[in-house]
Amino acid sequence: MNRKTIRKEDIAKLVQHFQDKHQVVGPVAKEHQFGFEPIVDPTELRLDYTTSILPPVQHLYPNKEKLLKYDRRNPGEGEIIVEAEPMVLMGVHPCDLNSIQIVDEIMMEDPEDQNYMARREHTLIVGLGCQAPCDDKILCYDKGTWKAESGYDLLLTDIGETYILDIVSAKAEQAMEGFDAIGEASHEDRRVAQASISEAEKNFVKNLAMPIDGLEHYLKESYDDMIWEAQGGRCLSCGSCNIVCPTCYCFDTQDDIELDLCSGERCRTKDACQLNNFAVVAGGENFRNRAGGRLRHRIFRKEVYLHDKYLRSTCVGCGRCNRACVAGINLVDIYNQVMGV
Amino acid sequence: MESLKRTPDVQTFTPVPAKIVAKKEFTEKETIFSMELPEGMSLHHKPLQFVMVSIFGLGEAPISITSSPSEDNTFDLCVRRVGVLTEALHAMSPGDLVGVRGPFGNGAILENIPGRDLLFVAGGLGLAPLRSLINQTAEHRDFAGNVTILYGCKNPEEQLFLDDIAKWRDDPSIEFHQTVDVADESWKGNVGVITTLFDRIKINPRTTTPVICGPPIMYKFVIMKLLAMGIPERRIYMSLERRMRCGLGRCGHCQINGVYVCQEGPVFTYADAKKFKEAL
Repeated sequence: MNRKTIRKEDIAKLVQHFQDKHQVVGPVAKEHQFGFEPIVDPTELRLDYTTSILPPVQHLYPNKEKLLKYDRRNPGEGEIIVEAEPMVLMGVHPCDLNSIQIVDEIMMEDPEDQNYMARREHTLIVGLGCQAPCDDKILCYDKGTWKAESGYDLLLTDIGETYILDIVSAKAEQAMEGFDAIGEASHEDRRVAQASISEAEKNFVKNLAMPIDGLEHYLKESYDDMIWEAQGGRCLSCGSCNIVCPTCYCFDTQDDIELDLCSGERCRTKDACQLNNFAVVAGGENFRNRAGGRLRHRIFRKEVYLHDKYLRSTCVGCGRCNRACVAGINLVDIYNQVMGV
Repeated sequence: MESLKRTPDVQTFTPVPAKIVAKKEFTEKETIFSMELPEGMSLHHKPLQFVMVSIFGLGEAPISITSSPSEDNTFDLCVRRVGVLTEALHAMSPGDLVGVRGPFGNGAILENIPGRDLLFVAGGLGLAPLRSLINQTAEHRDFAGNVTILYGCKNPEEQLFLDDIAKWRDDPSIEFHQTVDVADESWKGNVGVITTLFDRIKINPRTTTPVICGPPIMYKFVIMKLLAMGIPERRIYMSLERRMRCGLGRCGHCQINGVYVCQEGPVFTYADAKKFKEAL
C-alpha cells in the first residue's frame, strides 16, 4: 500500500485527472439530501455528504439495465449486451463498501452475472472513512460496518485540511500515474490518521440494546410471532425500502421495443419483494399475500437466509430503508423488539 | 449415457431458437407444442425440469417440459393460455420460432428414486411435468415395480393427454385411475376430488415412492392420505413450482423462505418441504 496525502482543495484536480479515462461518479447535493451521480463539474462533488438516497451500488447494478438485444424478424436469436465503461466511484462510505463486497460475492457465484462483473472490473472505488454517524436510524456501529478494511482501490481519510490517500490496488496505482498534486504521508500524518479514526469512533453509538450476534437466533425464534403482522400492518407495500437497499438485487425482466415494433432490448429492472404481487405464481396463488409476511421475508433474507449461505448478514445497517419508509417502519426498533429489550 | 451434444445456455440470458414443429390443442386453454432445437443440440433434461421460453417483445416465461428425456433435439411443452406470452404462443404455428433457455431445476432422477413401486399423483396441469417422468418410467419399465397413476381434473373437458391416458389404461403393467370434480353426462368414471381415488388402490407403503404434482391446494390433502398409508416423509416427492424470472438463482421470485426453487427445486421431498413455512 502506498500512503500519500492530498489537500482538500486538490480533490477537484483528482476528479479531473480521473475524468481523462473514466466516468467519475460521486456524491452530489440533491436539495437537502445527496445522490451518487456522474460528476460533470468537479466542484459539485460533496465529500462532506452524510448518506445518499440511492446507494452507489446502483452504478454497478443499475435499477434498469439491458441484457439482450433482439429483433423480432430473427425470433429466438438474441445478442447479449454487456455495457461497461471505465468508472471511478468516488467517496464511498464504509457501509457501502461493505455492501459492494456482499453484492460482489453474490454476483460472482456460479453462474456468474456477466453484466455486473464486467462493470465491476471496469470500476475503481475510492473509499471515504466516516467521521460521524448519519443519524440514529443506522446499525453500522452495531454491525461493524462503520469501517471497511477492504473493498476499495483507494481510501481517503479526513485529517482536517488534507486527506490521507491510501493507494491500495495495482489498478489504482496505474490510474494515479501522472497525477502530482499529492504529497508523501509523513509519520506525523500517519499518526494523525490513526488518531482521527479513533476520534471518529467516539462519535458512534450502538443502537441495539444487545450484541448483534444474537439477532439471527432471535429472528428465527420469532418466525411465527405476531410482531410481523403488527409491524407489517403499517406497511404500504410500496417497495421503497427495497429500492434504496444497497444489497437488494431481486429483479424482473421486461422486453422494451422500438417504434418499428421489431427491434428492442430485454432489460432487467430491480424488483421489490415488498410489492403485493412479488410471489404470485401461475394460477394466481400468492405465497406471500400479507404485508407482514413480506416484511418478515425482507428481514429474513438479510439476516437469516443469506446469512446462512454467505456466513454474514447481508444488511450493512446503512439505514436507508428506515429513512425511506413512509410508514415509519424501522429495523432498529424491530430488532430491539425481537431481541426483547 | 453422456452425450456430446450441446445444450442451450443455462448460465446467461441468451436463448437459442427453437422451432415449433407440431401443435395440438387439448382443450380451449391447453395446447401441446412439439419443439425442435437447432441440429446438434439437445436439452438433456431430466423429468420435472423446466425451460424459459422467450417471445421477443413480450418476454419470457417458465414452462415445464412434458416429454420424457431424449438424446435428440426435440422436446414437448404443454402450455396453458393464461398471460400475454402464452396467449401469443398459442397463436403461433408450426415453423415459427421462439427462444429457449434451460433446462433449469433439479428434476427427478428415476434411478435415484428409492423404492421399486411408483405412485404418480397429478392434478390438472400438474400432469404435464409429471408425464415426463411417467413416460420415462414406461420406457424403462425395469427401473420400477408396480406403477400407479392417479389423475384428477375439474371436469371432463379439462382432461389433458387423452392419447397417453388411453395408452396407460391399456398397459397391463400400469394401474390408472381418474376422477373429475364435477361430471357431465358423458362421464362414466369417478367423481370427487383426487383423494377419493385413494380408496381404490392398494399400495405397499414400504416399497412405494409417491411423486405429486398439481395445484397448491392439492398437496396438503394428498400428503395427509400418503402419511395415513404409512409412507415416510422422506420418500414423498413433490414438485413445487413458482414463477421464475431468471432460472439462475438470482431474481428472487421463486424463493420459498431461503430456497431458490429454480436451482434447488422444483422437486423436494416432503421431509424437506415441510421445513419451508411458505411451501404449501
